[in-house]
Amino acid sequence: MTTTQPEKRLKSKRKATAVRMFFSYILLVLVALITIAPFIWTISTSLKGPGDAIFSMPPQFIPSDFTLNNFKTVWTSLPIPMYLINSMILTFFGVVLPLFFSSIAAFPLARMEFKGKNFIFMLIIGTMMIPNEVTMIPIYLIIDMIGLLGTHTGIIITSIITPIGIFLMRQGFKDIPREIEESAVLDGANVWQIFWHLLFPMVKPMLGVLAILSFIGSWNNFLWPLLILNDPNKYPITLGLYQLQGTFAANTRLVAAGAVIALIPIMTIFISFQRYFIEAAYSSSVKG
Amino acid sequence: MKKTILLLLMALFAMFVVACGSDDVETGTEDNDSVDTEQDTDQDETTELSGDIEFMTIDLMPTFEEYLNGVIADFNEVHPNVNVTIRDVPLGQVEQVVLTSAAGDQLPDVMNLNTDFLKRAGALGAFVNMDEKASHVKDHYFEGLWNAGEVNGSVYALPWYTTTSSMLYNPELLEAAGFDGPPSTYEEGWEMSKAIYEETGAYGNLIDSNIHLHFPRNGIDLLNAEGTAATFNVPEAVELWEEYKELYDEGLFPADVMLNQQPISELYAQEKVAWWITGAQLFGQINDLAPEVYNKSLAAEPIVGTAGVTVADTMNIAVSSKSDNVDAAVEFAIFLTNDQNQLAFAHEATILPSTIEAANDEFFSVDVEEAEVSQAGRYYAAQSLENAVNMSPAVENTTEIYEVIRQAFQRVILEDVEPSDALADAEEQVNALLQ
Repeated sequence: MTTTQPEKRLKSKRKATAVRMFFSYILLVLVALITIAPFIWTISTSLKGPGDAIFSMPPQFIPSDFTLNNFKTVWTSLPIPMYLINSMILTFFGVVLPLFFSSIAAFPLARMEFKGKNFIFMLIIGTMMIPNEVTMIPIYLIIDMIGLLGTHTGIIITSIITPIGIFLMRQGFKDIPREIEESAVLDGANVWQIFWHLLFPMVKPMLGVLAILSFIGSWNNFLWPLLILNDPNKYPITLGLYQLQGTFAANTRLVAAGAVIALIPIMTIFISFQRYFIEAAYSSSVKG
Repeated sequence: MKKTILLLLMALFAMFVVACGSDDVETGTEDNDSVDTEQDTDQDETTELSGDIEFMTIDLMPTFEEYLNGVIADFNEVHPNVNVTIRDVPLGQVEQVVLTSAAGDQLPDVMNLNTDFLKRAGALGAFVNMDEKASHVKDHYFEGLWNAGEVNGSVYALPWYTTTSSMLYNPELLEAAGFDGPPSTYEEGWEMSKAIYEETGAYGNLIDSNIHLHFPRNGIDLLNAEGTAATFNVPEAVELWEEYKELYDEGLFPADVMLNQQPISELYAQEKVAWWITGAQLFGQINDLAPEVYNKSLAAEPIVGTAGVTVADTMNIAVSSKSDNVDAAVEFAIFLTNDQNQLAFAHEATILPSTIEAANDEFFSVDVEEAEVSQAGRYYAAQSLENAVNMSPAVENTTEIYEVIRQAFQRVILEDVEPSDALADAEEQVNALLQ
């Protein structure tokens, strides 16, 4: 009698957990489907031939007039490899430089004591409140003044340091216990050595988060390249693909095929670095 | 001590930055001035045009790359020393690009602009006055289209390609409701809409976000001739909006289209609307979205309001007043919009030319029974050119005026505000804008 009681409780508990799990999974699958539906629609549209309707009720996800011609047309009508290389150049510097510059800006704000430290930090954070539209023309004028209009450098320079980057890295540096730094000081390390050899490797999770944000921002950047560049040979993939959307022709199938092509590098990077990204996001969220 | 040194260094750095900045700006201006003077003298002496011209187009590349390069090549045969480069900009970003580059004195020399934005930027003095620079070719263009570029009494652009509406309709939906053909007036259209909606659940007439166009279509002027006061708050307008409110309450047009949240092309492609009144150049969108629906569609004359006129939507070519090579830029703008080049463009795209001679070419007369639906659509659109008017008032803040009217109408439809109150309120706001 005494043994069956806890067993029963255990059983009903297990049952409750199973039911909860079942509903959680259903909910998660539903959310996943809603999230992934536009992506599936894009892939399906890119594989549809001219005989297939793009807008039909109910939506038709499996093409009846299956073709790979849309990909072929996009590939041959636009210099896709050139656009991809341009995007990669912009994204590489758009990720690496913010990591470095945000870190060296955040380090003193997190680890050093000086007058006006909080004021400077508030000032930096305050700039996040200013909408992009307001700063667009002044930044354009500065880029024009320093002679970087029409260059990739002119685009990269606008993103090498951002308030959000400084904010994230400052949080990362703040979370490291002081004792580690003190022991390094006792061992005779100078400020640069403490920063570069000791603390910088310890903020990897935050660097991961910032890398993801910068990557997405740089890869999807549309407006700055459009404003700064005037030579189509320097266009990144986002701007290049826009040419498929003409005034007179709505090449939805081609636009979809182009979008799928543009997604391949991002997907490859995400899949190969998935472990680091998830680790980074996870450790930054539990650190608190 | 260290602090003092640091402060000194910072001050020095700040002075350096300020000095660099002002030097650059001054030198820049001087340079520009000297270039201008040199250019002017050059042209006076030799009358041979030269220099670099940047030509901004809207969403035309790469589809019309060959055509545009052909125009440039022909232009270079006459003016070999002018180097024209094309910069294509997406439609949605034109204003941002133009405003940002204007701030940096980097405006493209020749620009393709829509009429409303042209007026806004033209009023700021950004463009060359075509009444002065291109008066010798004024007679080549339709008068109504030439005036599209007018703001505050001067014309700031040459009209380029233009579109007037025609109708694309779905005969199966009409047949299902017992009709042989499409309507010819809005009144008839609403009558038919009721029957079609009852029989098939599809819409007929639709009201899109351009509600301001319904005034001139029905003989109600938006502004007075001087452009100083609103004139749309009249009993006819109140009556029109009351009628629209009733039709909306009966479910005869959806709010999504009125709020610009759903393109009519998508509804048409899904057979949820029986006809679409638009430029024939957009018919092809249906072929892309739903080929079966396109194949059974037919073209017809556009529906007209009580005023019997249709809307002309014109793309314009403006020249930057700050261009280093104004004369070459104006010459290129004239060349691009001449009869021959516009006619050649009409062969490439389903557009109508803005010059009289090109529009009278036999190319535009087709056998509508035999022709492909887009070609038939263009035939009907070309037929309506003589009744077509540019409906944007010749003032700079047209966009704001349209927005006031749009919001007033939305309050009538969605918030049950009395049409007379909404119109009176809108009139007051528009008058304030015109002050």
